[in-house]
Amino acid sequence: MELQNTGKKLSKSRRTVIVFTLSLLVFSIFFLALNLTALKNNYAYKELLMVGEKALLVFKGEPPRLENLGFVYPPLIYFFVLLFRNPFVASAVTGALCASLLMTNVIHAYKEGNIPRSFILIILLYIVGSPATLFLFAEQQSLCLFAAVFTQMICYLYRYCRHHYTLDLFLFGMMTSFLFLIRFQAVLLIPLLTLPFIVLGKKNELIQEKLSVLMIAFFPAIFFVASWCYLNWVFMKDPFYFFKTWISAMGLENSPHFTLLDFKSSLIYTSQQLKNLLPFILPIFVSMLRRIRLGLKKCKVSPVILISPFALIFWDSFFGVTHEHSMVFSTIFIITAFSCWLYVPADRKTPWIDRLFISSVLLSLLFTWTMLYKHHQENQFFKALVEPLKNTEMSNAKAIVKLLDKKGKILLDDKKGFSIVFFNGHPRRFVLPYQYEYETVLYAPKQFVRYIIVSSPTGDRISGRWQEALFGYLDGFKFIARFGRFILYEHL
Amino acid sequence: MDPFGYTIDIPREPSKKEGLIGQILIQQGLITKEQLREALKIQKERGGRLGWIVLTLGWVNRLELFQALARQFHLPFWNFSIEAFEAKCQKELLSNLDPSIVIRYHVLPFFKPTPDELVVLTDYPGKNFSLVFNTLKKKYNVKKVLPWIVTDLDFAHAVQYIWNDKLADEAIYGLFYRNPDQSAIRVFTKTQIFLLGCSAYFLLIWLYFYPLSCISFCFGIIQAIFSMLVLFKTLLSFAGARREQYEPISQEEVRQISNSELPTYTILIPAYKEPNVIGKLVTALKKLDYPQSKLDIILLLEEDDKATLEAAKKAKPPGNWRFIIIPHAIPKTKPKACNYGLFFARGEYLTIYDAEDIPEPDQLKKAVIGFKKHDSSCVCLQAALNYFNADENFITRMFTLEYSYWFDYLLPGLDRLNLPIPLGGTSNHFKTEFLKLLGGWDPFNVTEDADLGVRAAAHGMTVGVINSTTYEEANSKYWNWIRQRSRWIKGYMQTALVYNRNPLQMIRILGFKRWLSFQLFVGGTPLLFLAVPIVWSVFIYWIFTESKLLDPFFPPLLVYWGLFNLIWGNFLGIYLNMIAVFRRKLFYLMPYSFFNPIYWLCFHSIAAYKALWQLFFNPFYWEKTEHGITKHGEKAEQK
Repeated sequence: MELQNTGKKLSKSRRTVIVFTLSLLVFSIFFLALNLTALKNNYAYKELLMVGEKALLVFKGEPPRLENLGFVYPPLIYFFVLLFRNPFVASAVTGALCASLLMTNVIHAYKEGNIPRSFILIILLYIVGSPATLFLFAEQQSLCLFAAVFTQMICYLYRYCRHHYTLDLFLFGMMTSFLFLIRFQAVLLIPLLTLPFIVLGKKNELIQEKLSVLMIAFFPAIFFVASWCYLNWVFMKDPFYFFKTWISAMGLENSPHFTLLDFKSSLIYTSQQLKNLLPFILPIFVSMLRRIRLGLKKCKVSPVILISPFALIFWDSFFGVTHEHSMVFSTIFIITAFSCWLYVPADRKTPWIDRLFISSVLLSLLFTWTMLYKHHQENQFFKALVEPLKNTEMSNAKAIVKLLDKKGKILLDDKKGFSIVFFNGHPRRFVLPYQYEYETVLYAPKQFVRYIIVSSPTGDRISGRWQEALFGYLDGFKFIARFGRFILYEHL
Repeated sequence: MDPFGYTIDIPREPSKKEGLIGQILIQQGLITKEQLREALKIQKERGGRLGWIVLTLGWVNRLELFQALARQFHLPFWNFSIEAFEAKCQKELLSNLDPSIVIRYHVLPFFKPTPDELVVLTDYPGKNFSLVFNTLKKKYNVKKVLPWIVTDLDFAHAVQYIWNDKLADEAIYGLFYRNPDQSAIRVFTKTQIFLLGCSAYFLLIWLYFYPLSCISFCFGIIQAIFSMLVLFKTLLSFAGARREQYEPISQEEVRQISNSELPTYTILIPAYKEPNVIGKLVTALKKLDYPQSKLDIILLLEEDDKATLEAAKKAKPPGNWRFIIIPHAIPKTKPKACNYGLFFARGEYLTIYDAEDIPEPDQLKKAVIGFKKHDSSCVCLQAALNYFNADENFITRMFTLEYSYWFDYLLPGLDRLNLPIPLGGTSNHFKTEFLKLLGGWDPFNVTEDADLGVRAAAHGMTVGVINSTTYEEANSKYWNWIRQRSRWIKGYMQTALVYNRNPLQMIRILGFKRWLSFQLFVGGTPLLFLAVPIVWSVFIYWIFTESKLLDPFFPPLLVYWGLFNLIWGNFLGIYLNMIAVFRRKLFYLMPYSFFNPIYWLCFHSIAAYKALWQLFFNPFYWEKTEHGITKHGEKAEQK
């Protein structure tokens, strides 16, 4: 048993827990309300529908598609969906968790004297007042989790730099692995994140110690990358299945900005994106200014942290995940900028930088509203909060589902048609590619299924086998309806 | 209440004569004036008795000291011999006398030269004389008590001569007599046999009628235990890693403690067939930063171990060493020897070192400070153990990694979370009186140390840790390692069985959280080692053959749970071992953490099955570990 300072420490912990729990409750209700309103008005972010469908296959699939639990796709985003059995609740709770964690860290930073009181209000205002952050916390589960883990990673990195405690290094390593388990592109930040460790270090530090520190920091991420490639090879016979299927599901290969493995194009794309995001990401430039004022030599971590979001855009682009850099991605920049203030002691000599930062945050907040119309997903989300949307992916999928009778099997490729499976809610009715009998049914659908749903224009296995289905004709079946890119056929 | 059962006032009688011992020694030509001045200076700095200081400095021998004491107190000195003692001693005087009282008060009734006189033997003239003599007068109905001086070793010999069988019996069966439920003399209770039998019977029926679900269930249980253990050890590691942020006992505190504040400290050294290493231990204990005159070092030797006795004599230990010969009795185990030695312990605190141990010099001081800082329920403090021959070969490297993780992260984690701590093999520091209250060690448990830590918790006492290290010799040979580890695992199994005899009672005493910790740590560890080969076999078969044969036995959820444990369990096993190198800066060991899964499979699991076999067929057999086989003996010298 250990001697403790009870009293003050216990009440401090209790206060933190109370603050965290209260904000978790409030934010959960708030974000869930936003989610459900948008859902009712025919908007849901594609990723949520995809994750929801995969979770449905786990519980109700025939056979249960358990590798989705986390052996094919990065698992952490599935964890909450599997817990709550509903992607919208999961997304709201995840967003609330992340927002509460951020607020708790902010209050803690204020108590430590790193930030003035006005920062608490500014950050709270940004969370509840910016369409980018509202969209992030309500609908962008993976990006939100990524932001939260990234923030914690920064926290432990700063703490390790300051104290060289093994526990902080250990937790930093775990966070880097979690980053990969949320968003696989994040692993490409590792070479960048090694830089602080290379330049850090005590005097007379042996090379063995430096290598040991690097191993602790990055072994987890490398281990999980290798494990996931291995598991994908075992289950899907393709070690990069998780990556390819994500691009396909999100329709990224159809994006005009698809710059997969093209260095020069990715660079150009990155510049363009930064230009688009510039009004929103002003705070990060103020953070850089602050860092320069404090002296670059004093802290070797901050420059790397501040460059990370820029690097992430580049790597996303290089690996084909280009469509996600809408306004919501600016929140990564904002959160990174905040982190550099939260975890680094305040500079009392230049309060004008605090004021400049607050001004940049307010400006960013303003721009998120004035330029909302330029960013499709966020715009749709906010429109859906006001009035029902028409002719969206969701409304089309729902319309198709309404037409399906309660009996009879349905042939579908869920790589494109996952939203239909999700809204139908009974995956056992569907004949899906992961099932043994899919190939047989695909080549002789008349013998087995009542309905066929084809997705246009490309990438769907059914239209790949029966090209004429894209034009309204399928042997043995009659055309029923077309909603958006979904075409429904019924057995004659 | 006096020791012999009479109520009596205890007047304090300060001795005014001790200051003369120095003059007597000078008069006898045994020491010089300069030596006396030096001894007095040490006494002023460190406290203690002048005679003992002179003895431990090696200027006089035992006989000379006690003869001088006799002169100081104007008492006769008796040259002890067993034959003379046998001839003179009136054994009827000793009937119904408790040997522990005799040892404690340093008075042994000897004979009555006249009806009104009683001669007693004593090795500690002046101590408690008023209290004891008045009591003896009443008990034996005499008017005068005549103390005769003998050396402390002769006093112990006399006690052993009279009560050898009783002491041996108490050392072996004492715990069983007092508290049979906490003795491992019975491996399984009737209730446990009944329950195990019913479970086995039920499983067989289930296997016969529904083999698929039965195998799935068993596999599911293995996965559940694995998940819980991995999570538990990860949490412990986090908690233990926080200790890096502060020192429980700082060097400043060690420097500030005054030597005069330090009490007498007993060190028990059970040794059996260790002639190669005993010399190094004598040297190591001389280097302890503790007043030598306040050390009471007892070397415990078995009757048939002449080689170690001769080696010990040859090492010429200082006067604060005593050799106690343990009479031959089964079981011939270390805890039995320690229990026997406990009777003769004089110190307020007590610790145990193995013959090959090299403790850090300030360890005893840290223990004293540690006891002052903890509350009164703390009965024991555990120091860390590590190895001086870490880089000898692959086995010693893995062993060092494991120990570093265990003592630098896991045990501090248990300490921080206020959970029961199974003690390590040596360097356990006790409050002597509390140790006696607990009943000492269980001679039938082959990890008597782990058992004692749990027993302390079961009595509402606590165990803590101190930031000091004792260096030992890591096993460098495979079968030697297997023998040692199988004993430890068997001991854990025994401990788990003993403290699961009354689980509800344990929960009431420990609380659910601490009880669960005990189950996971002590009971779960051997289970894990037993399960590892089974799960690996299934996995390797599945991955190489891609056979569908196993599909009916393993529903998808179970397969994926197993895969999850495989990935996360092995990852954490490797990663936590990687962390272990930091506290001691053993960075060159880090690459060896990748061999952790192999270490588990090819070392721990084999030892676990050997332990399981022995649990049923030879539960009390003590696998003797060979020491002194390291090729890095010079590193021990450097430590």
